[in-house]
Amino acid sequence: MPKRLDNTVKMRWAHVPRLMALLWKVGRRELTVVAALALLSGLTPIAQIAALARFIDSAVPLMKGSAPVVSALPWLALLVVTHLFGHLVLRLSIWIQDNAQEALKARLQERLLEKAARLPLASFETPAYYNLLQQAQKALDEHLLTLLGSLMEVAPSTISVLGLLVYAAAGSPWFPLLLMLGTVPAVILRVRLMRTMFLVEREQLPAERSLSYIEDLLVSRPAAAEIKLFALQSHLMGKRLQLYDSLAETRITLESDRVKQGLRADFFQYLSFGAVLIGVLSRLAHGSITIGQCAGNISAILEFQRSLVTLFWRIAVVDNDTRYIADLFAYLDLDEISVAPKTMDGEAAASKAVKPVPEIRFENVSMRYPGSETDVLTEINLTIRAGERIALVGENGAGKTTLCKLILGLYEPTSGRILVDGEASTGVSALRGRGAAIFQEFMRYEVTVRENIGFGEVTALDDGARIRAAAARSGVAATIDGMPEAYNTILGKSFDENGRDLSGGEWQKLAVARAYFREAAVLVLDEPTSALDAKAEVVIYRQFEEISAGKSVLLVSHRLGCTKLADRIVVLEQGRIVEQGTYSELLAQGDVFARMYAMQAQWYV
Amino acid sequence: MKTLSERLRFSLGHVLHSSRFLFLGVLAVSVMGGLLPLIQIYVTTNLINEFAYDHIHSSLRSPSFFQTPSTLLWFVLLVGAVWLNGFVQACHPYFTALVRERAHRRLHDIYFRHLLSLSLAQREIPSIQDKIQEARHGVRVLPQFWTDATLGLLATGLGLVGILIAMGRVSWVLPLLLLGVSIPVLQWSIRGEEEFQEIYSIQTPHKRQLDYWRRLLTDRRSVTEVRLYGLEPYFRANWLTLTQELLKELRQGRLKNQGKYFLEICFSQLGFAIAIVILMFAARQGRLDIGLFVALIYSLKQYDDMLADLSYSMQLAVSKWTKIGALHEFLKLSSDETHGTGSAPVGIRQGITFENVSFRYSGSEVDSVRSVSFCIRPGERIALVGENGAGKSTVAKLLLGLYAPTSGRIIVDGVDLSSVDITDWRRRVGAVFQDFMRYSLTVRDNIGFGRLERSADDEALGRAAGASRADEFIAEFSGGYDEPLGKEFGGRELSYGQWQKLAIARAYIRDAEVLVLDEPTSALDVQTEFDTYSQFQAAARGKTVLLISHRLGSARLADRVLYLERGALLEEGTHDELIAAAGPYSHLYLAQAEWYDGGGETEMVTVDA
Repeated sequence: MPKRLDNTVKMRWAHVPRLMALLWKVGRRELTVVAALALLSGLTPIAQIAALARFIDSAVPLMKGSAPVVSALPWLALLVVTHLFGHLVLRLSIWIQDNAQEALKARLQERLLEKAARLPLASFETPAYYNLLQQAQKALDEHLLTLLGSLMEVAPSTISVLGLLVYAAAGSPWFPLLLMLGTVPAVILRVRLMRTMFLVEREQLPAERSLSYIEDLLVSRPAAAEIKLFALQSHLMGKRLQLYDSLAETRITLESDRVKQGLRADFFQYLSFGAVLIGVLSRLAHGSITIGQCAGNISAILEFQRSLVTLFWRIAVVDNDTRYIADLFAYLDLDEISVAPKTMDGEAAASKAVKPVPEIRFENVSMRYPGSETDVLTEINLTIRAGERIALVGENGAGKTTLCKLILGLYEPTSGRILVDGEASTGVSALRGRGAAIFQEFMRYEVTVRENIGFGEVTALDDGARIRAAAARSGVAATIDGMPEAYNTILGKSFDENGRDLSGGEWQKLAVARAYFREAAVLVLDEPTSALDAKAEVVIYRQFEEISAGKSVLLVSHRLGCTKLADRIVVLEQGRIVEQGTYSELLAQGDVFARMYAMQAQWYV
Repeated sequence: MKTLSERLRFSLGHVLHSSRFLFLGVLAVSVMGGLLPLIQIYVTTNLINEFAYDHIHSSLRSPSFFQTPSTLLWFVLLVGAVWLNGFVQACHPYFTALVRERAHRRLHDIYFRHLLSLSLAQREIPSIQDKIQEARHGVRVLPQFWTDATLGLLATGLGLVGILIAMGRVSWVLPLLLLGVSIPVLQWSIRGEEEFQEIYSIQTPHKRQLDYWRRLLTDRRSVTEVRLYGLEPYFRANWLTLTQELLKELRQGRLKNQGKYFLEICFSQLGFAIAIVILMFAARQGRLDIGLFVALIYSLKQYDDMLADLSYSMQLAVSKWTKIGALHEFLKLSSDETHGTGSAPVGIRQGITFENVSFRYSGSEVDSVRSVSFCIRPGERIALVGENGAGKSTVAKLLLGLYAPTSGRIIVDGVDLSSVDITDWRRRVGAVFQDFMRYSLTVRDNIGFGRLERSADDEALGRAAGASRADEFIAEFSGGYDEPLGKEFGGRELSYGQWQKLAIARAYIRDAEVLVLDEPTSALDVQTEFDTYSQFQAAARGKTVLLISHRLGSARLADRVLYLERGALLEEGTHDELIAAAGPYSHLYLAQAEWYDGGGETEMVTVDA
């Protein structure tokens, strides 16, 4: 199971350089512009303060009547220009940042999707990996933008803090020293506070998850019926309140700690502020600095304090968000499908594929899902002759679906070989593209009818005649012709209010048409009727002969009566083949299959 | 305007109700924060005048710092004012956090109570589901709206007014000029934001489309088929094209606003420059001294910053305001659950009668159940059969008192259910729903939820678990009944069949007189399916039972079969009667049964019932 790397503050921050490197890779231009603007906006406070000092100095003689108003105007102009500039830089960086953040997010999302396509399909069946995928998506959706925003602010705040120290040094070398002296304890206190908060938050996590579980139960629609029936309202509300109160108490304590520590940190800062102020004012009284310089110095210390607080706040946000970014990286680091070695070039592959329906042979094939400790399939030896129709039977979890996915080339066996026409298939590629399937959870694509069928062979999406032929074969053509826009009708109401809703049976026929549309060598029917009622089920099994013509077929069903349609029945139990034979052979044998069959058949005889 | 004041009263009422004094305290702290700029101007003026005395008067004073008590006073006051500002900034979050916590506690309680008071039929209406979600956001932002408004709007607003007053003492032109600059700036920035929000809201449906492409590529349920047919590049291209289109729109929207922002900045800075020139002339005329001059110049900078804060706070407030509206609307939604006062009959003697019962979901144009009439005798076992969407589950929910009939009556022992306290009736019934819950809690909760007062009684749990054969796997748990279940919290994950056994135990522990079993998914394997029915048979002994199934064979377990089609009752009778009648039920049954013809000679398994 992928380990979450958020154990310590230090390890979390280790993700920041990596994130920066990744961002640099996906958006060099944006980052450069943002960085340049950050530098400018970090420096503007100093320019503004310097201009203020000069302006005030130029204005003092006015009061004494020793100079005309005009003499101060150039400095006023400078003051106004620096502020104008400051505002423009700020606006500009907000503008560029908003654009850049969105663009960067989109590009990271693209990476996430590309990554998903490169993960072994089996990963999706492993809860740990699947959760990681969802967490990575959550990190991207909820935390990336605030993280980027804060990261982009850290630089200008730092520049401004440092710049102001340098500016203060022009007044006296003691000033920055005094300011630093007040800052260091403040930094220590705040860092300590951040660590406590992290630890408390981590402690709270289980209670928080329990709380949100109960709240989700209260809001969820499927739970509503049971909550009403069993009158669970007050029980769940009580439980919720108990959790909420304990969490709220901790949150309030934490908040008061934060205030206390903040005030303590402030105390040191104000102490140094007072000391510098005394220095500035005595120098003014001494006459060693002008009024303008004095005002400039005071503004500089105030601005310094402000930037420092901003900086800390930004860092706290980054600190919080990096926790989630860890998930993003853990996801991007997952193992990918090993690229199948190219044993033959395209030409040769094409000639090999000439045989329309191959023989598929499993030799000691075992399969284990990543992160799992037990095999789903153990040492399977099975030959499916060209055009043979096999029914797979067994309990839930016996490995039927896994076997189907191996034949479709969707999984690679953990050990053993799968031979296609006697050739060892070296990767999933040899079988991929040659299979079609109707799964238990077949898809209902909320796009056009044409696409719903054409997705079976996406390269032939524009071949209208072929799509119509497939629709006719699956018996859905009449329904489609009755729609106002026929094959261009949008299905489902999620994206188009005028979209057309279909019944379960109609959706199913589209799925069948999709399977027809692909000229497949192998067809898998994995409990294709479990979403259907009895009537629709009968219809689909009656079509079986036609559906399976000229293909090797693998049929998975719990309706054992239907298995008589197959040439051979294979019974799986806990990942092993325990029986195989024809329908009548197995019934005569009176073993596993016969027992199951009798159990079901008694309802009907 | 009426809704505005109503909504204000509604939202402020909730905050005040949960923490009246605390909120007033927050207000006081905010007012204090708002006064600071004025104090700072005053103190800075005096301080600079004291210290810059020789610069102005060219007369040499002794430059000792603490020479005059007034210098020390002004110094302490300035540091004090700055510190006070810091103090307000630091404490405000604490007090607002307290207000928020209390208001959240109260609002969540009200929200969930209201949610639970809605009828089940209401809960299933998509538009109400949307409202429920939006209102949940409203609960989150309502207290925040008020606490942020105090600091962001009140304190900033007061601060701005303070600076305007100080300016007004120099010349009446100054406040007018500054106001003339600020009001359009605020208007522009809010309008700009609104326009931009509009782009966002136009993009919302496209964003759902984007999410759809993304989910197809990453969702467990779709990824198998997507990979089988090699659809990844197609969906990724769709996603990418749409993303780029949306980003382009946003970029263009922003670009359009930049010119306006640029004008706005020039306009306000020009205003400030004119203000400074006025100050310079006033200073030259001796209407203000050097200290005040410096202080006012500085306060102009502050004014500039605070104006930006104010417009930002207003933008935030606008976005929260709509969410508060959603909460308000949601709480105004009244429950259509009617409560009679009578108590439900105990120990059913005559039976349950449906009299011309119809049911229609609100907003739907057709009845889901159409004028259905039938009787169930006490202890009778009824199988409800029909195609998907025929209304079987709706009939079950009507019987359980979870839906109320749109027309017609349901009568139990001569008593109309609509005159009965429906919660009392629900106490007499139990059900295992098709999508039964798998609570990620303990085994005890999973069974005990059927009857809370018995959840501490291990013996009762044991009986219920025994009846559903859940005891077999519970015995293997080290934690016994307190074993945590479900992967959410790292508990033990069970198979579908095991979860279902717990759901049956949950129904059983109720000691209900009427039991409903809504068809378990047809994805069950033979053994589990067989177990489900036989366990249910055992658990239901002596009770009135309603069984919904697609596997028509199991209907033979029932004393009587009801066949529904499009909400109407088409056939009624025993299995044999209906087969003999050769109606729609028998067609369906025979179609399923034909697969099993050849199995006659194999050994039979007896049903444990």
